[in-house]
Amino acid sequence: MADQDRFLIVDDARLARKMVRMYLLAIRTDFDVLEAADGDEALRLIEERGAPAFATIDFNMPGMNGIELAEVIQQRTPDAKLALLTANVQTSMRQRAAELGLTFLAKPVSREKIAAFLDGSA
Amino acid sequence: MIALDPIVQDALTEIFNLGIGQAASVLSSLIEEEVALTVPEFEIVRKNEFLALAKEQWQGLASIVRQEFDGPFSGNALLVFPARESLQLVRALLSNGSTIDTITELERDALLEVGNIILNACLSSIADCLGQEIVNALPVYIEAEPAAIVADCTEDPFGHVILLRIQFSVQKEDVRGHILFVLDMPAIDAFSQAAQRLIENYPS
Repeated sequence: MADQDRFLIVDDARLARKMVRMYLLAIRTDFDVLEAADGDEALRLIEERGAPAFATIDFNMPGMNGIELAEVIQQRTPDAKLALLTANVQTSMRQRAAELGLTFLAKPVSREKIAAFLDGSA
Repeated sequence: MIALDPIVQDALTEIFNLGIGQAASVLSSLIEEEVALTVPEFEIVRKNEFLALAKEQWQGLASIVRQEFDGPFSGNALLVFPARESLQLVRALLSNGSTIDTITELERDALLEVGNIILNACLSSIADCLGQEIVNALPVYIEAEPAAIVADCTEDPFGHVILLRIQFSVQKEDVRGHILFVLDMPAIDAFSQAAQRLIENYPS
């Protein structure tokens, strides 16, 4: 069961994680924000701290890619809302995200994109 | 220099142009500044000509984000900034007023992410135009002479590369950068064939 106050950011780029955190906390200050630089670290954090209600996941990362990580998180926490946040905006990538039921967010991230993801309108 | 069928060359230039237009739009939204683009210069040149051009164009170290890609054609996309200008760009992005001449780890990470976003926007647009999927490797950040990096991008010493030069500038920050695509001859053939198929889909 996902914790409604927990938000996971998975991206190998520190800048990208900082940007998501900044926009997120500008919208809601009470999130417990977890950051991971790759899929393995994300799964370890979930194991230790519990499942997030929301996660933004980069596609192109060392180790497992964002789609593979999203599949693992979905199996473990079906009620988590997941977004693929990527600079790879090819139609094929959007389709793969849609097939998995992931929200697709194109980089660069903005406050509006995070707000739309949180309220389900993205 | 190799001459392509003018219609194919025109289509390829337009495809790259659309991709780089998309990249400029992304950069503009990142730094909240207008980004101006020059008209793209598209040439297919021998590798040794390419190296001479690179040495002429850029003296000294540059900040380079390199992204290898694979798919119907494989190659390297490079985003090249003079080292000092890359610092200005990233400090504008981070709202960081530092005047230190050396790049910090956070600034290096930020430049890598800027390169990732720009090059991916460009490659994604090209893939969608051609109706094909391009698979991107993880981007890497390098401080080096551009000629050394382009030399490393293709193994064939007698091969050819596509040299696409577009200069973009951010007026307020006085930053200029270049995007280069380095493809070897089989990739150029595959790319030209994809462009030809695209042209055939649009009746004249």
